[in-house]
Amino acid sequence: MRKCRFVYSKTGKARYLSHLDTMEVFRRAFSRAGIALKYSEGFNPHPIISIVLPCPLGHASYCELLDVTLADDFGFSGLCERLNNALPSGLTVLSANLPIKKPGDLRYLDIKIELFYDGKTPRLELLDFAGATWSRIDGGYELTLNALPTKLNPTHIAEALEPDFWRVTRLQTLDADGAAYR
Amino acid sequence: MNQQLERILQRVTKPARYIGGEHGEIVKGERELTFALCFPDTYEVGMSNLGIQILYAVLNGLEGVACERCFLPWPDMTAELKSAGVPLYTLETSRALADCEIIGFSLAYELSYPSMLNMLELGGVAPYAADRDEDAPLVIAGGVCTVNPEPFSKFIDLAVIGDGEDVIVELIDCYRKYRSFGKTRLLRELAEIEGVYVPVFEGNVRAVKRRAVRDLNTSVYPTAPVVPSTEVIHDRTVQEIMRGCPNGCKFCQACFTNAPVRYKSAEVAARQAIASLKHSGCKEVNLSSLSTSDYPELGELTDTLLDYCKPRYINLSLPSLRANSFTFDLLDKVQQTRKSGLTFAPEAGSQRLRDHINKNLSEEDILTACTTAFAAGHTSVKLYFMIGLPGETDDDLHAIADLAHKILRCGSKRVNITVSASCFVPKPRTPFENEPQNPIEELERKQRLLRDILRDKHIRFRWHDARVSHIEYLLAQGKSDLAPALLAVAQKSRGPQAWDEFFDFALWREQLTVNSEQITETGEGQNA
Ligand code: SF4
Repeated sequence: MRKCRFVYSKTGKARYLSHLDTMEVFRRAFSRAGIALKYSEGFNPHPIISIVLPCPLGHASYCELLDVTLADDFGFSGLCERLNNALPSGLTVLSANLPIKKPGDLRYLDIKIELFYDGKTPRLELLDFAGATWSRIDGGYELTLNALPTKLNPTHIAEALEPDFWRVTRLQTLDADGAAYR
Repeated sequence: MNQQLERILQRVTKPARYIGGEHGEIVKGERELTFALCFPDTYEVGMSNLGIQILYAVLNGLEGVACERCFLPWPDMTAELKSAGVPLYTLETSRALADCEIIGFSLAYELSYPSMLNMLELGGVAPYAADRDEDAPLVIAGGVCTVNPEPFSKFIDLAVIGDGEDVIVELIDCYRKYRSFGKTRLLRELAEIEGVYVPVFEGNVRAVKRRAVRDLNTSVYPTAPVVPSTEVIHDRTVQEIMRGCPNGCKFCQACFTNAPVRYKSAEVAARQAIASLKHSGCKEVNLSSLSTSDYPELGELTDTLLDYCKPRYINLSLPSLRANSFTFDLLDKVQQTRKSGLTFAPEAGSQRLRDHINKNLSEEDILTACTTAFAAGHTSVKLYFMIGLPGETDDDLHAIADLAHKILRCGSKRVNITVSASCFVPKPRTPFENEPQNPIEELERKQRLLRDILRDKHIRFRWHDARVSHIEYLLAQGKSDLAPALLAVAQKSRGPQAWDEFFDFALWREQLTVNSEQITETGEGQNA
């Protein structure tokens, strides 16, 4: 028995999977990959899977965190590859580690927001706030927000800038000291 | 994914059902033709349909053929697609339906007919076959509803009657040979295939020989099915073990249109089931058949499967079992009873009426089974009945209540019973096809009567909307003059008619009255 924390990316089509869907997809993927998980006790046993601070439906992420308890003392090497062969399009496991930090230690996020405007020009001064850097991209603007407190909802920030279309991508998870949270 | 689609997906509910990309999806590069496999209901419903998964495997098994899925979008998505001018597309490669060579619909229930038309229109395809030009896709239909294809005959180029998996291969072959000869010639050649009905030739559909796969052991089975990533009704794989049913209840369309009864060997079924479980990672396997108790190797099959499933926390589910002692041993073994509860389908309350409809189940069977079950600790039972059956009198309804009360007394402790009553719909190709349907008011009176005599705090009574059953009847028995009404309902309704929340009786009545002679002012059927 061994706890394991996977870092995975959720991009492309997988952005549209809800939190619950994502957990089920992973459960099935572990099963397909032949990686046995520890099951809960009780009348209706289910594998113990949790996602630390899942990104909202529709957002992309390169730093989602999935905690599981492996049934055997698997080595971590090779796990990612096996899992990736069993995952649907848009979900890719990047690394497997022993979880050290607690979920509550996750404090900040690095976020990218892409903003697209049809015709109307945005009020550029709005993009110019502290902690943000921005650049032009094809058809719009790209805003990078470093160390955004997890309490703030990137959707609200994106919508406050009144684009006709936006995309949010989670780039990095950080702890209280601003170090990468893994 | 293009940004136009991304914008739409950001606004609709449950966007994951519109994107494909699931485990097991097949995306073909080089292709000679694209077959859009359509189910005129939502993704969730369509993806649970075994026929869709079988045809997907068969068609994608053919070289040069790309079979891609397409389902009915929810009304919010429909509105978004329309306002953005994006045609309805296949999940695999986002191809508009209009750009596919063949569009195949699986029609499993009558109320999905308007949804088929919605899908065609959304996909950029003219609903009436006569309005489609030479380059338009070939529109075909299969599924249980093609026993009477007349109501939708003006919208399709051909219907496949019976099992689809062999016909579809012959059909594709023929299509490839004759596609360049023009539609009329193509259709004439296609009409030569056994089991194919081409409405423009105005033949008699009853003269078309229904196709039935001879050997289920050797026919293609989807052991690497598409595994939905979202919104599935059941997280399970389906293992077909037999097709058809030996019981011959006189109202049952499934029985008479799936004859003869064919069994898959336990060995093949187990091998396929295990392969599907390995591929899918699902936590349940469902043994699918019309009457599982009639499967000769049920004991062997469940033993083999349990050996595989138990250590892996996989459930084995066995629907459509008859109540007898063998069943109880079996249910004990698979430990399914607690989860699913007990269900019986006596269909009629009295032995007289059960004999009349050829339902082979005695009161003694039911009571013995319930007594055993309650003694073993079960506390609830579901009973399925049908009201409005030919020859039914109020005595038969009282017999339903009597039976329910007798079952209540089978347990020493308190037990709960759910009585569910559907309405008899005379279906084509059944012994009861020419029987009348009770008028709506009569069905509703019977429902009220049952509700009154079933008043008991341990009995829950549920019933089907008689108006829905009435429309099902008109569609099941309908002729080609229903076409304008179907199209009008498709265009004017707010959503899929098979969904209670959207079923619009007033609209059906209005359109059927305007467009054909099949319904009277009060909504009573012609035979009422
Ligand atoms: S047992 Fe069920 S499936 Fe078989 S004929 Fe009777 S109603 Fe139909």
